[in-house]
This record gives sequence, structure tokens and C-alpha cells, in this order.
Amino acid sequence: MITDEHLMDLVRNGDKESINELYRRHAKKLYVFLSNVMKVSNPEDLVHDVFIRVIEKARQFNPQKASFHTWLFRIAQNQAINLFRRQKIVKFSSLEQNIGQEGSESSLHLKDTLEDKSQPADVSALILAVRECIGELRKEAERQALVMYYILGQNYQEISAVFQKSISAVRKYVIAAGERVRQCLERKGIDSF
Amino acid sequence: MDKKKFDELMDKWASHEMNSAPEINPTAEVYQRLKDRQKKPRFTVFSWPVRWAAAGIAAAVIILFIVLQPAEEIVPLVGLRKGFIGEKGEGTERAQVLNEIEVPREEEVPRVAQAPRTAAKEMAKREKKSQVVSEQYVFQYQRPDTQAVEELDIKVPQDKIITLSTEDNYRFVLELAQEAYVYIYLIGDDQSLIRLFPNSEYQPAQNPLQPGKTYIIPAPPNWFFVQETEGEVKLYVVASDRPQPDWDELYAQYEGMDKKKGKREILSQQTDAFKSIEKTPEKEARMFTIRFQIQ
Repeated sequence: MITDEHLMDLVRNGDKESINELYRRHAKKLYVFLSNVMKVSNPEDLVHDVFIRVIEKARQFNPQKASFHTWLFRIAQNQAINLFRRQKIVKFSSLEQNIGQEGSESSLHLKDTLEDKSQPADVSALILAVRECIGELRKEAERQALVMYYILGQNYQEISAVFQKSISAVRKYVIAAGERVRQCLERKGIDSF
Repeated sequence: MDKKKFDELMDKWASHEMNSAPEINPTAEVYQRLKDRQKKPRFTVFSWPVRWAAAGIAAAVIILFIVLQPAEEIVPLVGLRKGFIGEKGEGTERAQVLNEIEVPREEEVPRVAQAPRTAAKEMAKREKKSQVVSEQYVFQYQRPDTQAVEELDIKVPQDKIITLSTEDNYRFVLELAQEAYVYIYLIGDDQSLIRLFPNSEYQPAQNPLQPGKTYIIPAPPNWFFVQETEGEVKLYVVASDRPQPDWDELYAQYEGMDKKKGKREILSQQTDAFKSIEKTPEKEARMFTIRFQIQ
């Protein structure tokens, strides 16, 4: 299998298939990252912006310094922050607020997925409860670390590289956030599923 | 809820979130950017490598300009040409070889400063001198109008400053009583320093000079002449019983120096060296000076 780094070499030369493959591998993850972690209201547009930035900065990518994965998520994070600055949004809105916002693409999308008839009702309830509990997390850093840890399957090292925090700090955030979500779920009467 | 169950629940939630994310494919804009990138030359005019290269080239050009800038053209104070008599053929008959005794012919070399002497008398006198081992430090000069050779004994301090023009010639005639290392320097008003001897450009002889032989500097048929139109020239003639390697080094430095400031510093060191010679016992080293005005 061609590595991401090798695909980047091909992207530098304008290879169309390579960018398609990078989309296949990372677009969904980026979407989830931007919608769940960075709380971007229009994650799909920003995914494209991130890939455009990847193309523009392809020559600056140095696999010796960071993996493609880390570099990609750093770009995504910066793009999201720039977007917030442009929109003059100083503080990130909470997950709970985002879900409740009418007309927000991500909220509509989440609503659609929860109304999926193919999903058993109890599973939908469980997922909704987890989302609510994550939304209740007050510390932004803890929420971001927890989402990246479980949804993106990233290890502590990768998360620390993206957010430029120490590995021990990231571990602390994940454990603390997990504990709070667990207590929240128990309060909601979800002990098992 | 134990940790295992919690992790399972979170994984289920995570996989749902991932699965619920829409399929996203590159847009036309992304492809266009990729295409633009392909066309874009690696180094644009404003890219950093080009900027650095331009800066490097500019720096190299400046350095080359400084290094290759022609040094200020200095007309040497001393020129070399054949004597006036020599132009009429006498020069070739004169002492061509270093140690040959100069025997001026009376009919061609009218003497102004001294009474006319015949060649025979001259020879006789020189032969006599060679027996006694005479010593001569003579400054000779000639003017184009009279073509006569005038002499000054530079061992005798001169009260009167002679005047030479660019038309006049001059030279040194040396005879030593004992082996010596001779140095003749010329210092001009413009702080120029010229070593007339030892200097292979003017005279192939090298130190030490031997007693009983006549040395003419520059080597016949050439004479020195001044190329400046005004100023004063001071000549230092030093005869030492030992070599002066420091002077050789100083003069080599002076000749290799482009900057005026550096030349002045070296000249100052050489002048100090002359002063130290003045304090040296006569047995070890002697120094004579002669000045002439350029008009």
C-alpha cells in the first residue's frame, strides 16, 4: 500500500489519482474532526479548503518533521481557527448548542443520522446520550482530546502533536473527560447496552 | 459502568459518527488547484530560493567589483632610459657588464663639474685607486642641453639642493673599499618609496657588493629620470656590513600593498629603520642622503 507520504510526493507533481486517494483515506476523518472537535458549522466546505491548502503547501511537507496525518490535522485546525477569526467567533460554541442550532449543516446531518430508521431505537438513544454527555464537558481541551481519541482512533502522541500539548497533558484530558462522560451516562441511567 | 463497557460504548458512538459522515470527493476547484500547481514552475520570481540566489549573485558582483576594481594608476616617480650620450652610441660602448669600469671618453662626455680628464688619466687614476682600494659614492646627472655628466660626492653632505627636471638623467656610481650590503631608496614628496638597489629591474647585481669594483646603478646604458614635474626627492644610500632582510620584507609588502594608508605605514617603518642606521656605529653601517628638487 502506498503511504500517505508517497502520495504527497505524487501530489507535488499534480497527480490527480493521489489526491483522490488522500480524500478516500482522510476526508471523513477530517469531516468528523472539523464538526465534532473544531465545531465548524460547514465542515464539508472546510474539508475541501484543507485539501486545497495541502496542495498549495505540498512542497513544504517534510515527513521527517511530522507524519502526514499530524500535518493534515494541524492544517485543518489552523483552517478552522482562521475561519472562526473571519467569522469573528472568539469562543467555540458547545456541542450541545451546535446540535440545537436549526439550519446548521452538521446539526441537520446529525439529526438525519439519528432519525435513520435502520438504527434500533435503543442504539440511537445511546448515541444521543453520549453526544449530550460530551456536550456537557466544560473544558474545551478535554472534549477535543476525548473526541480525537475515540472517533479518530488517534493515540496520545498524535493528539499531542496536533494540539501542540504534552503527551501527559493529553492523557490527563482523555482520562478526565472519559470519567465525566461515564458519570453523565450513569446519571442518565445508561449502565449497559 | 466499568471501563471496558464504557470503551465499547464510546467505540460504538465513534463508529456511528464515522459512518454517518458523508462521502466527500474532490471538487472541481481542488482539481483546478492541483492542475495549477502542476503548471506552476518550481521557482517563481518571488520564491525564496530565487531571492537567495539573486542576493548571492548581487553579493558576488559587489565583491568582484571591489576586488577587480583597477587600483589607482600611479605614475612611478622613477623612469629608466638611455643616457643622452648613449643614444649616440656611447652607451653600447660603455660598461655593459656589471663590474666593468666606466671609462667616459673625453670628446663625448664633457665634464662640467670637474676639469676635463683624458681616458688615459682616468684609467691611470682608477688603476691607482684599485691598488689603494678606493671608495666612491657618486651621484651623477646629466642634462639634455649640455649632455655633460655632473657628479656629486654623496659622502660629503650637500648644502645646495640640486634641481632636476623630467628631461634630466641621473645615476649612481659606487666603488666600495670593503664588502658591503648596499641599499638605495628614493622617497618622493607623494610618500612614494622606490628601492633603486638592490632591484633587478634596474641592476642585476645583488648584495653584497665587492670591493675594488665599480657598480653603476642603473646598469648602463640606462639612467634614471624623474617622472614627476614638481616636488622634492630624497635619496638614501646605505652601506651595511650585514644584510637587512627586514627591509626586503618591508619593500615586498610595500609593493604588494594597494591601499595608500598601508603604503604610508610601511614607509614610516622604513624611515624609522633609516633613523636607526644613523645611530649605528660607522664601522657597521653608513648612510648618506641626497636631495634634489624637481622642476
